[in-house]
Amino acid sequence: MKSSGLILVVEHNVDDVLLMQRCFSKHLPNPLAFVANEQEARSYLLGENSFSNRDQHPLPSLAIVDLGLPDKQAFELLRWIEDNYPVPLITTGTSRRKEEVQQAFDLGANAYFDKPVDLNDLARMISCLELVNEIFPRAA
Amino acid sequence: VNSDERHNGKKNGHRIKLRLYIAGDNPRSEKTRNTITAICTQHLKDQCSIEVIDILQNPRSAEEDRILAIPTLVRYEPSPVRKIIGDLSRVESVLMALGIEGQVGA
Repeated sequence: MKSSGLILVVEHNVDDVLLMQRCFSKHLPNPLAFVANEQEARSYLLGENSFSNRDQHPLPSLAIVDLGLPDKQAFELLRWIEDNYPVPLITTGTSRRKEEVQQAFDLGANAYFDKPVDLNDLARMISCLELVNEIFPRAA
Repeated sequence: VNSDERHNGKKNGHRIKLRLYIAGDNPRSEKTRNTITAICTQHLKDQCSIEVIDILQNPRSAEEDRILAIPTLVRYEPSPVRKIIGDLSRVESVLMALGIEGQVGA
């Protein structure tokens, strides 16, 4: 994925955020944006409230969503993103409940990584992706 | 190469219908294609059909199917449609994403 593509990370666990920041800044050229819950993610994608400045908060080329957000927020968010903002969606979580992973794929998730996530593996996967709107810029 | 590959010579009757989107004829595309073909052959036996689409030769298809990233593996059947992105080299992850883990003999 090219360097222009911002990655939006929806993660409420502070430790996971710090680890992701550290690993991705080392292995990926992409800028990162972190939000902690479903509402913030929606606000970011809609450019509302503190995210209204698109120069400072550009739309993402890829999103990473933690399925472990409280109150099943992640599943509502996946459904909303699928309906409103087409973007490649990577999910993370604990696969203790495999039916939740299956539900995530049915709601539009495009990949799933078990926690604790091998962040080097995730970064490698992201770096190998080619975005269609970069292959065909006029379609962007 | 824009190819349409059907495994096991069956046009109909496959329980799992897949479409793989790649971009160009290059080693990465070839590796992805071989990986998915191997998964179909070894893990899904005669229950799987796969069609390979090169979006450089068929960009409209990617647009119609709302493909956002390459490579993408689309499961059309059984419904609902699922789209899986990534290098697709982790067989267990691909099978889980396809929702056929443990349902088809390995």
